[in-house]
Amino acid sequence: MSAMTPAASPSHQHFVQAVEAYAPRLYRHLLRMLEDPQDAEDALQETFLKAYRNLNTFQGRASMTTWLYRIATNEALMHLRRRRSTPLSLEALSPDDGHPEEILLTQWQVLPEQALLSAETRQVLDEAVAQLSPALRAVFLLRDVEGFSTKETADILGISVDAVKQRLARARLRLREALAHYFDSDDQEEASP
Amino acid sequence: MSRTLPQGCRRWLDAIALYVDGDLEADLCRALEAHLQACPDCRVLVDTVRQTVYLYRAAAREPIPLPRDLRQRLFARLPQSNEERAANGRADAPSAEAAP
Repeated sequence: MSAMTPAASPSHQHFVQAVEAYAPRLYRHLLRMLEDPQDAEDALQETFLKAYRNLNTFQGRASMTTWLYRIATNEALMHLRRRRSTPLSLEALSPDDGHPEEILLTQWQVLPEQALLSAETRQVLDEAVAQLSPALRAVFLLRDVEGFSTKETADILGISVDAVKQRLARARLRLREALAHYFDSDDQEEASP
Repeated sequence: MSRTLPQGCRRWLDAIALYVDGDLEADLCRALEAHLQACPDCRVLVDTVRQTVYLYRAAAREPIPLPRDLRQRLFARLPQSNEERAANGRADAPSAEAAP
């Protein structure tokens, strides 16, 4: 690890408290972004190291929560960028980020919540998110899973509110399409626990 | 055999995806609701997008176990306070006052 510039004690104590408070939820966010526990842990460590180095730039302009999520999400996107052979940009959507070519129209089988959250269903949900591009995945996870508002999500990602809405819509439709094939009433027996 | 959404309804896709949690401008919301009154296919879409969002939110409430000793590994890599450095025999480390 490179040499660190120490912060004054009050800031350090505040930072330690932030690590304790935010590590679990940031780790889970990074795990959903990266789908790999070791990558998520590495990204979490980098997140807190970068946050510590830049504590002096955090002046309460944003909430501590959105500030840390911004660093963590950027860290996850850098990890994803390193995995890819093609450049990864959050600025523009790729052709793969459009609407699904076909929208399957079937009523889904209604299952009790516990059945919906079976291990098999969880795997289907995770795999569907993993199929999203990083640009769509980041918006969906921040908005629908982490529960940030549209404005907060835009602030975290450094994109416009309209861009968040467009990406959120595309992400939800793509996920719905993936789940439609799983919950299609034609496949009820297969989907039942 | 499963049906698919008619081409004529595809212009409503983004609006439907945002409608499920009220994140839609008032004018567009009214226009969409008028369309939904007459279109059972788009009502199915609204219902299943809503279920999709519900499922992910429900799944997010399920705890994900943290890796064993994550906190210890995390703090081992994070910088120490001046007091901790002194206690660990590293009193020669730069002081806080020297920090920019």
